Amino acid sequence: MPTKCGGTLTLDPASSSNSERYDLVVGPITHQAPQFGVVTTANYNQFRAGRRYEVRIVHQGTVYYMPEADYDYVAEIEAVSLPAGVVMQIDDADGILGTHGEPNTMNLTFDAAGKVAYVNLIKVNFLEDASQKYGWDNFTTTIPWKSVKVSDTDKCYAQIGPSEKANSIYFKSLQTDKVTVSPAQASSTPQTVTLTGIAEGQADVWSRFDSVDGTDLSQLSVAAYQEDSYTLAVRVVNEEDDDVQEIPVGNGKPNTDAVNTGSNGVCNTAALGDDVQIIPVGQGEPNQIAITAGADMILDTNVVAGDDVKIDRMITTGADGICNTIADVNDIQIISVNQGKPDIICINTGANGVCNTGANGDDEQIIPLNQGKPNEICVSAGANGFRDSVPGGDDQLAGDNITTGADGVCDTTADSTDDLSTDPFNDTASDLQTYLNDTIYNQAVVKWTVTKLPDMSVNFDIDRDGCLDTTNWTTSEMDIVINQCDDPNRNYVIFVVNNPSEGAGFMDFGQKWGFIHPGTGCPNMLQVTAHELGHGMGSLTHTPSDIDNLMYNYCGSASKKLRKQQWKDVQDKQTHLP
Amino acid sequence: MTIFKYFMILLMGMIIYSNSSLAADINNINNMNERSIKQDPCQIMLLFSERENDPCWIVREQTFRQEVHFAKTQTEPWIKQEVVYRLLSIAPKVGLSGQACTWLLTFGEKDFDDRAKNIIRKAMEKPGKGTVLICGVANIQEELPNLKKLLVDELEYQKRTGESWRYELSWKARLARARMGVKEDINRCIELAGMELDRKLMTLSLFRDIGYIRQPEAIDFLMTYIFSDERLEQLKPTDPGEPVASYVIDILAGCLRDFPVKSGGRRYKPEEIELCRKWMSEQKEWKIIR
Repeated sequence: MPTKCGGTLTLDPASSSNSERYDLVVGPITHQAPQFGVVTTANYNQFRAGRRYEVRIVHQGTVYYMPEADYDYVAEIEAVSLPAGVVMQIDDADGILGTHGEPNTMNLTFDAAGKVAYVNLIKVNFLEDASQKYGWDNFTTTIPWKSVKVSDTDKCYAQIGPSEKANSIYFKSLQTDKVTVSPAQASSTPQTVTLTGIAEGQADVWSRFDSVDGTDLSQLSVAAYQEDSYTLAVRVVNEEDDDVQEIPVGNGKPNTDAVNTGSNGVCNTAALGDDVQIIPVGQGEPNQIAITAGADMILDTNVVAGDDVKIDRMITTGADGICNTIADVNDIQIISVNQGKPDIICINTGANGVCNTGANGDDEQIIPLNQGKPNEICVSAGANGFRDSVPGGDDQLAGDNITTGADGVCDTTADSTDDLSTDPFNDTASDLQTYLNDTIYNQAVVKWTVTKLPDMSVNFDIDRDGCLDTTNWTTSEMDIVINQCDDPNRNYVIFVVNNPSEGAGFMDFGQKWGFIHPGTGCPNMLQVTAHELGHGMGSLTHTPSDIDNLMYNYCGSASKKLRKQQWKDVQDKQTHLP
Repeated sequence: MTIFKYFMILLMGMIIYSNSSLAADINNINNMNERSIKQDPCQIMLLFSERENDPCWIVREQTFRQEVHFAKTQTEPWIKQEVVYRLLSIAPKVGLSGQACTWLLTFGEKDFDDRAKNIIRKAMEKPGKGTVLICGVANIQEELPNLKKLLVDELEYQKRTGESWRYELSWKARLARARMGVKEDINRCIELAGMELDRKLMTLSLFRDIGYIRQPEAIDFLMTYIFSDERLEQLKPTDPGEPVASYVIDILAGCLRDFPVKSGGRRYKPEEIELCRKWMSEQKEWKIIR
């Protein structure tokens, strides 16, 4: 909203005859006395600072009984309530304002006809230059603040209104040992104002009317800072997952005993699925001792039946594993006729380690159908010696391993692939350095040198929840990252880690280490990094009521501003030699 | 198009070369401390000096950083004095003014020889905040009158300007005088710090300032906060805020000999905080590092 200025317009037809009436026209206002010959004064507040208003005097007539006009009048314009920083100045080259005509004299011509004067409500606003090198704050203070580096220059604009009075505006620094200003006199509007930092400190720069020591118009405060320099390293940190899948998920330990021949020693069961038939159906374990000599140590059995084989003083079952021979009474029948050696494994689980076969006859089911051998290691900790996987199904923990549990089937997928974090920066992080130096911390006259450290894979997810625990400063998981990924040769280190338990970034006040988390809803990781450094380096707090501020609580906006107090907070972190 | 493409490839090659060269440089600098175990310190100092004016700021910064680290590991006084002298005489001229100041504040009075003190005396003719603080560390007693001229009534200043005194040169001068043993200023520093109601300012700024004083009264002041269960404000809903005691411990660890935890990290666990509280309670006198 334009500033309204009060003004008093006085029209005084100073004729002794009281015979005339005039309009005093000032910009949009036409001021006219209600009657001929009456002097009136009125206040108007429609005028706006920074504007120039044309002034005319218009003769509106003479009373009917007067033979002719004498054209005397008094026209005055006064300022009664100008806002601070506004000066009223009148250009009246033809002298139409003031008192015209003497009482009891006759002017035969109206000298003001067709002539104009001007009322200037002069105002200067210092404005931010979008291409400035350092900072600007007109949000937290009524007087705008500008930051500038010692031994360097920066600029802002002076918006001068009305433009016709630009060359009446002068600039002066009241503390030239801290900051100087140029030019001393404006030449146009907007006028570029150059500020030069001389020494650390503050300076009041004034725009003034008419001369460098003329009437004060508006003030700009300038803070000159020595440049602070910091080193920052960024490192992408991946969660190291190197578990080994010893048994595939859904499988059991391969080739384990599934079915045996039972007490008759004859396999009655045919293997199904990928189960392996070790002993054919109807057979037993081959070449098992079926008959031996008795106490007399002489084999008396002379008839060897079937494929049984006589070996010295024994008869074995032969290739079919079944005893076909009846022992003589003096010999010992170890395996009954038509049977084999009992309880011999005739079927194993095959490659998938799961028993697909149900036992028949007197065969014994060692592993239940559709199960595997219980409590076998299905996932083992990898080279880092830390189990990264979480047991599934009925699988069980056994030290650093996971076993198949009671059902013998591995239900656990080994976490064997590092959880990679997304690198939000370019190869050298020069994009971050440029952002910090040209967009954010230049406002506080701070310079960063950013180094990209090699990525690291670290076993930080000790609760195996797939997240970096960022619930408070600092968790055990954050400590692992800090302790293993730090660079002691940098002032600050930022770790890039995906999948935090919460938040897009975290760096406590006055800390060296910070965390940023891509993929958490904040699209601009450069901004998040700068924000966290604000906490860590500058100990800056959130600014919930300043959405444009870098330290605004929530991401998503173009929050990039650092305000004057924040410049100081950041600067106060370090002091300088001369 | 083809020409353009080749040009780009060449440019990329140059960048890669440049980076690897820089990395090698920094690596060499960082290895100097390891080499120092076997080599003559004079040779090491010579190697450092060759890189103090390197065209690359990072190389210069790393060089001085390693010089400081090297000096802290050495027992011969002249090495610390030489590094301090270089930090005062060379570092400010090669864009490391702020870094050098930070490092200098970690040295002790005996590390400033006459050469260093003369530089500080000269700088005190037009003092900055860093100069004043370093003057206090070097304990140049004859500068006390000059420092006194810089003092203002802090509360009156704040009332008049609306600016906090804690940023001002006058406050740094008072801290320096306090470090140099002027009782009046020790008491005033502690009094002003004690008046600060903003716990964050107290914790993040004034603890460090009071720690700088390195006088028994300052340690007594800081000790009261080690028993505090207060925390700084939360940065996220689940974060209770870092304990104020943790910040004090970090400061005290740099001030007192035989302190049970190391400085420079914070993130102290509750058991470490308790350990420090117990240790502080048991001390009969402070062995202050100056």
